[in-house]
Amino acid sequence: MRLDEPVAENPLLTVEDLEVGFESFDGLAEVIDGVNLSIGKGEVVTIAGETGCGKSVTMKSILRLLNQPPARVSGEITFDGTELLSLSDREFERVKGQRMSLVFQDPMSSLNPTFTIGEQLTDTAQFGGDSDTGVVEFFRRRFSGERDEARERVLEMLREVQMPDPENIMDSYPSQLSGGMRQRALIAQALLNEPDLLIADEIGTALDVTIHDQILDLLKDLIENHDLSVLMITHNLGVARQVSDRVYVMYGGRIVETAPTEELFENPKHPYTQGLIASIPRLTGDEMATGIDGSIPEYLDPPPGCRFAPRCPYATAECEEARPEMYERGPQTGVECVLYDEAVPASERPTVEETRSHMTRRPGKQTGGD
Amino acid sequence: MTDVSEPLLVVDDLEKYFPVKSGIIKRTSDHVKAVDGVSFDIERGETLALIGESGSGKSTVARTIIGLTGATGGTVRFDGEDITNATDEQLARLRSRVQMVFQDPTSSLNPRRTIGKSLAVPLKARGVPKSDLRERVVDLLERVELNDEYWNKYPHELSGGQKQRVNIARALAVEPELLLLDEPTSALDVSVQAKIIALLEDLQAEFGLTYLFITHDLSLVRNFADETAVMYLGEIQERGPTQEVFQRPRHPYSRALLSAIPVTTDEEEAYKPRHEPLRGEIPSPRDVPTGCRFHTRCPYATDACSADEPQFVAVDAGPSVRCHIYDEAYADAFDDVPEVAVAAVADETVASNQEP
Repeated sequence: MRLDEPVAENPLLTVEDLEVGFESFDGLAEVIDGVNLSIGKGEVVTIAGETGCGKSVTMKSILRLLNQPPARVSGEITFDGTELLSLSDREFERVKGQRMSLVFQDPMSSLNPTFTIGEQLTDTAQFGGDSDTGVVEFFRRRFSGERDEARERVLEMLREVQMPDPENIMDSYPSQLSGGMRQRALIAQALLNEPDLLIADEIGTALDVTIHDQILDLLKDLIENHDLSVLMITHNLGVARQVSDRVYVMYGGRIVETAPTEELFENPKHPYTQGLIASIPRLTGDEMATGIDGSIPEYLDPPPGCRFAPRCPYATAECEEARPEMYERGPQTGVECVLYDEAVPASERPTVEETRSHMTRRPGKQTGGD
Repeated sequence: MTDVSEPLLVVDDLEKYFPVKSGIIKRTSDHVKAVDGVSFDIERGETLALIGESGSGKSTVARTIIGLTGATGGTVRFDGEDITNATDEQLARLRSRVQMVFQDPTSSLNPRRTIGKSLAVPLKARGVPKSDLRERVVDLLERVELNDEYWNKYPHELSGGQKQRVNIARALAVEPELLLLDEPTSALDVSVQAKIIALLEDLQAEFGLTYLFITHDLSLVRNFADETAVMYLGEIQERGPTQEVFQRPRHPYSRALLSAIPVTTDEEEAYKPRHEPLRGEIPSPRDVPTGCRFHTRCPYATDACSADEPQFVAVDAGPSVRCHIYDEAYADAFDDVPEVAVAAVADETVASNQEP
């Protein structure tokens, strides 16, 4: 299925009609079902959604981190004019290493515990995106003045990410660093080769709130100073609101809503987005919704129509039959829900408050699941 | 049952020092002061939220209460009985009245046991006859809004939220009075988290349970807890009615925690205290800073803070706070103090808003 989704002007990365399936003993699990997204130059875009909705699979298929098979990836991924899926592994490696960077969620397992921070980061600075250099070239780079230059560059970058006492950190092993410092080291590593696109997967989620706060502040500064385009992946809508320009909300392997950040939070449209926002505990002490009933779809046998229909308080028979179109399409907006068909009067479209009241205090006890 | 007026749980000056051993003969050379003089009490049917970052000692408090680790000082009284370092016989009695729910729903269930079997264990320990087991387990499952299909399922067949429901059901099997909830929702998604919180509220209303709710997420306890205590490096820094702590956080650390929460509306943004990012990270509990423990990260710290340890005193008859800013003797030492300290006290609607 091809959906015309809103596209950023002058995009750096576009993903069109991405479909990812996984072969399993029970058949093909259609995890990503027609995802379209785009990231403009200098834009910070977030994919938000809960566990199991396909955000990480999307990210991994962009970076070719999925083994094929069992994964089956189809669609078009264009990075700055180059179609990525048709590149050979070696060509792709070059584009990825020099122009894209990824910061993983878990700062512990992303660093090699047997090398010091300095060695790891200097290697990235010298060999990033260029790992098959051959023995001679390797030794030339490794044991010449280039190494010291690269080391200087790393030190500078560590200072830029506000690492405390960077000289000492260069000679420390990852296990000697706290979680926040490791996260800073990873960010420094990601920025060493001046990438155009930074992909941040749940950055700082594993850290304490006050440290997480510091990391987000740092990230905002870095995005500005380096003029980065960023694809952020998060389950925390509050983080999405703080950092990004535009948000894609994902559910069940599809993008169900997209809008500029401010608009999305002021006027969320899709019942899932509304339910998600209503479920976040509120500082002001207003009552929070009691969560969305049901659980994410089985990818082996997904609902035929809208994948959110089984959990949606407004679902009709129509929703269960066919996948809804993207309605309310603006240059940067869109919502995949039949309630936003032009034929539906505006009064029938739910507000967050309505959804909240639908989801607060169940009328009768339900069994089954979360 | 002794004194009826005494709170269900009274923790007084609780200390837990872990020895650090070094050298060939493993002499104790130092101590990790995980919990260092914590006091609070919880009335029957109420909820106390214990908040703090990792390493603040909040989980150690719970583990010490239930006897998983021994206390090195102070007392814990449950329903009038001193249960500090309880004897085996005391523990056997205690554990049918105090239960704990852990953070990770997966690792707290035996993967080789069906849900039915897992839930039957505490029932058997209580002497429920074999013929009644199935019925009682189904009862328990219904209490946490699961149906009897779960009897034959294994933990891997359940989602995180369902597993956490099973854990809660298992804790409820012995009909406890006090539940220690150690980050019960931090491994779950928001929409699931909301459901678990709603479930806990329902259960409290139905069975009059008392909760000690441990979490790092301040926003979660806003509607849930009667009292909130903020822990930092083994000490409680601020404790008071939840409403008060949220509307006027006094301790700089509470303010920093509140201001660090990423929120989703402008309304909430306005509600947060001024954004004051903290410097650095939580120090090691092995090497606790002198004076006020928070002074190494505090945006308001002065020389006095590193020299003298602040007392834990009630401010304006409201929450108790451990901070020099609220001590008249140090009034001259601070110039840029948080607005709340300057605000007149007996005004506003705080008193009238107080939940009954």
